[in-house]
Formats: sequence, C-alpha cells, structure tokens
Amino acid sequence: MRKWIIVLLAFVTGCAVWHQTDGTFSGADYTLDLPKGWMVTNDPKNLRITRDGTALQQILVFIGDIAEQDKNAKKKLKKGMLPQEVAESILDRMRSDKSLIQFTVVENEPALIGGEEGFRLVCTYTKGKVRYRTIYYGMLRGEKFYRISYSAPIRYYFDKDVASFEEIVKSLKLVEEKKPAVLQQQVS
Amino acid sequence: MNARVGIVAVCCLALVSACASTALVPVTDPGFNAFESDEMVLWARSAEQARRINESGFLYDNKELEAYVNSVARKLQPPRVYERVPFTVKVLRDPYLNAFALANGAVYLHTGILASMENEAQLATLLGHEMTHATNRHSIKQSRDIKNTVAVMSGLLLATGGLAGVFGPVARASVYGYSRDYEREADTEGFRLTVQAGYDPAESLKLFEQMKREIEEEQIKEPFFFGTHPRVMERIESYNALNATRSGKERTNATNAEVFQGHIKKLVLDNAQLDLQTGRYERAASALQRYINRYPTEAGAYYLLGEANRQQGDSDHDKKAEESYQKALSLDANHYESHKMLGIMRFKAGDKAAAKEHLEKYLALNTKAADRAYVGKYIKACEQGAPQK
Repeated sequence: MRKWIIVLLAFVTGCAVWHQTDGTFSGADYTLDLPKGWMVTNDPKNLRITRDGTALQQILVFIGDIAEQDKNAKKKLKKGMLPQEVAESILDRMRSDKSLIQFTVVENEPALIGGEEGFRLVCTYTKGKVRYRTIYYGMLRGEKFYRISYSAPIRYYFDKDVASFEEIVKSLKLVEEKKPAVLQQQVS
Repeated sequence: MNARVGIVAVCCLALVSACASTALVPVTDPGFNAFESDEMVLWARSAEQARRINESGFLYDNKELEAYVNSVARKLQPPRVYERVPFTVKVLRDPYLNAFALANGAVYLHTGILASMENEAQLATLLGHEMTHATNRHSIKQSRDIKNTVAVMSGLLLATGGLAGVFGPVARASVYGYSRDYEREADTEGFRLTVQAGYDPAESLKLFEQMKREIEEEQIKEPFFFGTHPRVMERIESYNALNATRSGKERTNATNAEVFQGHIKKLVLDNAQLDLQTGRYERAASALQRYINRYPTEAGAYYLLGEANRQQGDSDHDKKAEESYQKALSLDANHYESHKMLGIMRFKAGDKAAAKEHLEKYLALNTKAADRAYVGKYIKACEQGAPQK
C-alpha cells in the first residue's frame, strides 16, 4: 500500500522525490520531528509532508530569502516588518488569489515559532469543489521568511491530523544560517 | 502539383463538413426567430459559469449599487429585448480594469473599472458595449469561428504533415477575446444605444481616454481586455470615428455625474483597499487623492491614503503616511484605525510613549478589535521599554 502511495505522489507532484520519514528531518536552517511512516520530499528548502497524499493532508515548510520568495508577488514583504504586518500581507495575497473561493479568515494571532515571534493564521476556502482549512505559521527572521503550514479538507481529514501538525510545529528548532535558501510562497 | 491539389481538397472537405454559419442576426433584429441548439448549450454553460461566479465570494455586496447599474442597463434596451436576453448586471470585487458579458446576458463589471469612471454616460457606454456582445450573439459566433478555424486547420495540418507552428498564431487570435470586428460592432451598437438613451456621446470617448491615461501613467499591465493599451487604443479610434459621423442633430447631453458619483462613493474606497491588497499602491493613492478632492473632510479616505504610503515601506512614504493619519485624526479624533497605524509606526520608530498612547486609544475606541492580542503585545513591550522587532 505504502509503495502505491509513493508511486502516486511521484506521479501527482512531478519531479519531487518522496520517501518515508524515520521520525526526524534536518535542513540547513532547522530540524523537525516528523511522525514516523509519513511521506516527505527530499528538498529541505521546500519541504512537503503527507501521510495519505497531498490532496488529503499536506504540510509545507518553506524557508528562504524574502526577496526570492517575493519574486512573483506584487505585495512585498520587507525586513523589519512586525509579525502582524507580515500576517496581513500574507492574507492580502490569499484574498487576491482567485483560485481560493469563499476565502475566510478564522484566526490571526501572534505565535511563537521555534522560539521566535511570528504569527498563526487559520483560514478556510474552497478549491475545486472541496472546502479546505489551512493553519499557517509564519515569521521573518532577518532576511529570511519562515513558513510552516497545514492544509486539509475540512470534512473528515483536517481534524484527523491537526494534532500531529501542531506537534511538528512545536518540534521546529532553528539553527544559525549557513547558506541562502530558496523559498516559495503558496497557499496549499 | 499533386500535393497542392491534396491540400485544397482536404480544406474544402473540412469546410463543407464542419463549418457552421456565423451569419446570425442580432436578437434585436425583426428577423430573429429563435436561438440555435448549440447556442442553447452555450447559454446553459454561461448560466453555470454565472452561478459559480455569484457563489465565489467575489461579488461586491451592494444591493443599491446593483439596482442602480441595472437601472442604467434598462435605459439602453427595451423590455422586448430583455424578454429574449434577460440582462443582469453584477459588480465583482476586483481592482483590475475589466467588464465582460456572458452569452446569456449576465454582465459583470469590476469595481476597478467603475472606480475609474466619472459619470453615468460613461457607465452607459460600457454597458452598451457589453450588452451588444450578448444581443449580437458574439459568443456563439466566436465559438463557431473557432470551430471553423479548427476544422480548416485540421485539414491543413493533415495535408501539410503537422506544421503546427505555422498555424499557431491563427489559433491564438481566435481563442483570446472577441475579434476586432465583433468589438467594433459592440462599439458601434453600444454607442448608438448610449446616444438613443440621451447620454452625452462625448463621454464615451472620454471613458477610454481616461483608461488610456491610467494605463500609461501607472504603467498598468493587466491581462484583461480593457486593461491592455492596444485594446483601449482600438476603442479610442473606434469612438473617435463614431463621434465624427454624428449628424450633430442629436441633443443628448446627459451625464448624470452627481448621481453616479453618489452611487460609487463607497465603492471607490473599497476598490482602493483592493488595490492595496494587490500591492498597487500608486493606483490606490491616485484614486484616493481624486476622492479627497471631491470629499475633503472624510477621515477614512485620509487613513487609506496613509495606508497607500505606509505599505510602500520607505522613509519618504512613511512621512507622508504619518501626515495622512494625523489629517484623519484632525477630521475625526475617534478614527481608531489611524490611531492604530500611528501607534505601530511610532512603536517601530522606538517612540514608546507616543506609541502606547495611540495604541491604547485604539483599543479603547475599538472594543471588538480582532487584533487585540497583537496590539496588547506592543503595549506591553512599550511598558517594558524594549520595542519589539
């Protein structure tokens, strides 16, 4: 069964290479504890994690330079922004995204991410014919933007893995920068 | 020689077997009988598309404005035309310069295009143009044009061994937007409807000249029909020619500017917020400045002008932003959003006393503030003496 999920994920996500987690993940800038047996891509700058397939639950971890993550966005993030300003900027991008139907912000609160000041957003939207909920943690740290988010269909799937996601967020440990990284900015 | 004969033969076969007529009379024509079967399929698809748009959450929720734009549309076409094409005009929350009509008469105007207009005559021009696409059945004609092109192309591709690149531009021209001829027809008939309804025809041209100025001044690069410089230039040429052919006997000079401005007053501010949301700060600032020139005592407009500057995030704009927030507070001392933004700007500048004062006023004036947790942290940091970074 697991083999079939790997094959299916590789097919759906194009070039990404998926493997089963052994419980931890280490990137250049961070470490994470992951639930054993979940599937994860091998790109630490643009990490994707799922158990049953990205359409059913997807955790994204993006870490990278502000300028690079902003390259396709008209609304730019800037060094020195407060977490609330960053959160509003991210929300404005989502509100302007015509693929997110009936977009609603449920929560927008300050939060700690890896011990640093950031924000936590909860929003809902319809994509295709499916209603999704996303929890989005984000922060600026110097020239870098950090994002860790979880998206899943509200019906059945979201509640099933939300606790696992929050555990993953709690486990995030930031380490000092070693080299520039690429970060993408997407909703789900 | 044999190859040429083969190509011609395949093309003729494609034309004979697949081409549908695009010689359809407008629904306003006395010779119109009924819609055709493929047209009814297109109408059903349009109805489904309209349903999706209407349920998307992107409709601009303002019943009064919706009733107004529909009342202007009703001045352009008599009830007997509405019996054939039941026009409904709705406004979409979208700052880009665009408007479009579906085959079934569902017309959508973006807030962005409404906010750039000056009067009802200009609105009538746009509605006349869009409604003509529906009455003159441009959707089904274009659909058939594409099918016919595809049929001919299929024949040619077969005959030439698949040189797709040669025919690419032809296909693209058919797929994107209405053809120049259909657009010109919509200009001509829309212009006639506008004049017939008593509006000042000079405003038709002004609408597109205003759009051209906006596109050039603000270097707008939009993917939509009315947001592209060449398409707007075509409209200007077209309306110039239409104005030149007027007999001069018509005594139509209605613009209804005040009525129109009254109806779009709130929309202009809401659209400026949408421009800010999409990072189009200069466009928002220029719309807000025009609004302030018209309504110089509204704190909310100065607050948004402050936002258009602050969000650009450099020291020059920060200074202008503070001035705008202060102006808003001079007009309305209880304008809590201006207190909040001044508080945040002072907080970031390290001026803790002023920051705390403004932020506390914000929370006192806005007891249901959704961002109380953020603001509480700033106040706490001010009290502790260290600005949060």
